[in-house]
Amino acid sequence: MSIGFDIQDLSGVTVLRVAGFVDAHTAPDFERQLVRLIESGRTRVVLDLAGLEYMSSAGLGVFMAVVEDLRGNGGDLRVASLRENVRSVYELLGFHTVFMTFEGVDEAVRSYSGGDGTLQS
Amino acid sequence: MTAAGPNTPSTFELSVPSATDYLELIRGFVARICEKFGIPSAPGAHIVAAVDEAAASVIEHAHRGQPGGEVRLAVAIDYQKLSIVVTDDGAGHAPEAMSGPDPCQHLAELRVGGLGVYLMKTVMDEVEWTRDGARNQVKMVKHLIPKGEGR
Repeated sequence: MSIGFDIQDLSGVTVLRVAGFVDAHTAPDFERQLVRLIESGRTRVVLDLAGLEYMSSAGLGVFMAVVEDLRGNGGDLRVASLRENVRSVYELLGFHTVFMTFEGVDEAVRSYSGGDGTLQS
Repeated sequence: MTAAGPNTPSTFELSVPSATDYLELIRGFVARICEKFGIPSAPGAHIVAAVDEAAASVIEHAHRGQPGGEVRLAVAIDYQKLSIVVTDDGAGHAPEAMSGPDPCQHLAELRVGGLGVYLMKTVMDEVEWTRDGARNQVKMVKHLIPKGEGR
C-alpha cells in the first residue's frame, strides 16, 4: 500500500487518518482527499499521521494548498501523532510554526473546543 | 555494486524510469545503503529525504513528468562521506533559483514550492547542480565524520 485514508467524524471534527507515504507520486491523492472534505463542508480537520511512514515536501505542500480554504471557512488543519522521522522533516521546514501539532488525536480533536495547541514560534 | 578496497569507496548505481511511482524504490535503495553502512536513523532519514527531493525535482522539472526518460543514481560511500549524484537527460532547470532561504517566511506567506531545495541544502553538507552537455546533475555530499577528524 502506497497510501491509504480513513475518515472519522468526532464531535464536529473530521479526523483524516493517512497511512503509507506521501511523496510526489501520492501527494495528488492526499490533496484530493482534503479537497473532498472541504467540498463536503468539513473544515475542522485533524490529520492523524500515526500510520504515515514518510512525507516529502510535496506532501507538506498540500498542507499549504488547502489551509487557506479551511481557515477561510472557519476551520483549520491540525496535525497529530507524527512519527519521529516525519516530525524531523516537518519541523525542519517550519511547519510546526504554522500548524497546531499534537501528540495524540484526542488532544487535537479537543483543541477545537478550546484546548491548548502547540503552535510554536 | 563495487566492493570497497582499503582506500576506495563502495559504489552503487541505480537507474529507473523517470516516473514518480519509482520514488519509493529510490528511497528504499538509499535507505538500505545507509543501514548497511551503519548511518544512524536520523541522518539516514534526512539523506533519504534529500535524494527523494532531488529525484522528484528531476522527474517533475527536467522531464516535465513525461515518461521515457531515465533517472540515474550513483552512490559512493567510505568512512568519511557519502556522495550521491542524481543524473538525468531531461531539460535543464535551475533549482537553485527556486530555493527559499527563509522557510518560515515562505510558510508565513503560505507559498508552496522551493521547500524541497531548502531541505536538500539544509540536511546535506554540499549540494551542487551542474549541466554537462545534455545532462543535468545534482551532486550531494554528507560528511559522516566531522571535517578534520579523518583517520
